[in-house]
Amino acid sequence: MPLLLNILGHHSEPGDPVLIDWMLHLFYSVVNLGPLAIVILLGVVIVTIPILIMAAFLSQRAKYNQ
Amino acid sequence: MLQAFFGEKRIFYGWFVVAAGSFALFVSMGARNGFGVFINPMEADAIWDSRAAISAVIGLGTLVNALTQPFLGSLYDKYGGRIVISASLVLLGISTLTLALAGSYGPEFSVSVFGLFNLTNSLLFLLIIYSVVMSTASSGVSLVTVHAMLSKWFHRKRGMALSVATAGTSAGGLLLTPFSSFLILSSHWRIAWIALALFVLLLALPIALIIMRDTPDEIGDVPDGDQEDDTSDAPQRASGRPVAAPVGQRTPLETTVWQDSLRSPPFWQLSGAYFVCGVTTIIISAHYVPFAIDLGITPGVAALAFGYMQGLNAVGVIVVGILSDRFSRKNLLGTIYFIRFLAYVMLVTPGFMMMLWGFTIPPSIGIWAFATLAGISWIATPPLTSSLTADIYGVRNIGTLNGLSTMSHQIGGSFSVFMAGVLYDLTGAYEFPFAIAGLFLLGATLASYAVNERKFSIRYQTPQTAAASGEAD
Repeated sequence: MPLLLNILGHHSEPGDPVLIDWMLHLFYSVVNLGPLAIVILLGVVIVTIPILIMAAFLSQRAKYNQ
Repeated sequence: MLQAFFGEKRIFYGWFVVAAGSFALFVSMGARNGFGVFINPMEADAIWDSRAAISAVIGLGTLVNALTQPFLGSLYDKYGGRIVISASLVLLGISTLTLALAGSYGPEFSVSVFGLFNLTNSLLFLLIIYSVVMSTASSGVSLVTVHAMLSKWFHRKRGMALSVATAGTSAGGLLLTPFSSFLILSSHWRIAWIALALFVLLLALPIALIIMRDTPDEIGDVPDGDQEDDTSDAPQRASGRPVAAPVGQRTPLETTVWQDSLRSPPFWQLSGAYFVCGVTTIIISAHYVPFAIDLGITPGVAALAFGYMQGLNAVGVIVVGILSDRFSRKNLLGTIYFIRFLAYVMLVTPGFMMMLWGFTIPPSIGIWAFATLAGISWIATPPLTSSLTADIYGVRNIGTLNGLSTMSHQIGGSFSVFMAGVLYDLTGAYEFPFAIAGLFLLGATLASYAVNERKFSIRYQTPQTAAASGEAD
């Protein structure tokens, strides 16, 4: 039943589990790593984003106080 | 190291607000959009009885999310982005964390209500936590509030700023959905909910609190970081192309109260077109899988085409954002809807060729052509719609106005899912509902082109019209 199980609307609607399953299967076959390795890899990327934002912000902060 | 990288150059503070807003959208999108990956494992643990039950939970969540957009937008207008987005992140994080408690997890974790029933084991738990609390919190960390806040920080580069922030939603789906799924595979779905909650509470929330400011005034700056007497736009203004208006200039339709906008055509043109945007994005989202199966497309090809479309999203939205700061936004918006119309033509052509003339085109050609054209246009519409709204109506009620147009988008999406289901049952094919959705896009194209941007947008106001506007007041 596809009712309102959406993926990639503009406003964070939940994804269709079948389509997500297909895409993850594809992702898995391309990356060719174990689930835990993929979790660690993606986790590092996700955590790095805010760290870089904060580092850049802190390096500039003194200039906004002038 | 970063100090050395940036040197003495001062980055406009607004770009950090863009980064903070984009990351908030990234985690918000991931937390709520990722619910799809939890459905099968939670169902396997008998958290609910049937697919109908979880459809009700998600359906109610979509409805609540749609209806609360204007409300959260009005809260934004009253209290500002930093407070509303941060409070919503707190609520989103707590509700995400609470979902880890769903179902039987032993007496030490269960919550009994007056000793009558175990709340975490009931469907009511999901209805309250996901459908109501999380869906409302998502409205507070959404394109509505982030676009509204960024509209105050950027005039000249408004299109690009809003587009970069919007790309965060795309990245959230691309990274957090597989992250959650593989975490479920390697541990448990409860751990995945906890991890998502920690991303919200420990990463996005501190950044929002530390970096977000509602307006440039708060740090003694001006929009775009420009000086108020900046004259660098003079050549562009002389050529008749759009420019950023001087700070403080008003537009002919600038609202004092949001209800004013309901009496003018641009609001209905933009909201009507956005309704069609909802129709044409959510109908595909909901019916893509059965459509692909009907056409005999393998899951691998269908997934690759959809992934390719997602990748094009981010590129498309940023390119359109950059272009929108140099050219007419309503013409770009109309062109984007027309490109999406062509995408729908590509999608249904193989099926109709077969039905009408028995002429066979491999359906995968239609899918790939659709993915290319739709990918470019998929998320390019929200920043253009929000930018035009701010250009025409000003920023005083921008949260409420964005919320109303987004509600229209979500209602269009829900309508399209229902319409496609009914028409499929009647005709036995998806080509008919998709063709109707495509025709809607022609209407959205015309409505967008018809917006009188030159008359109403602040980007086309000259100092003379500003003076006249001031006298009229």
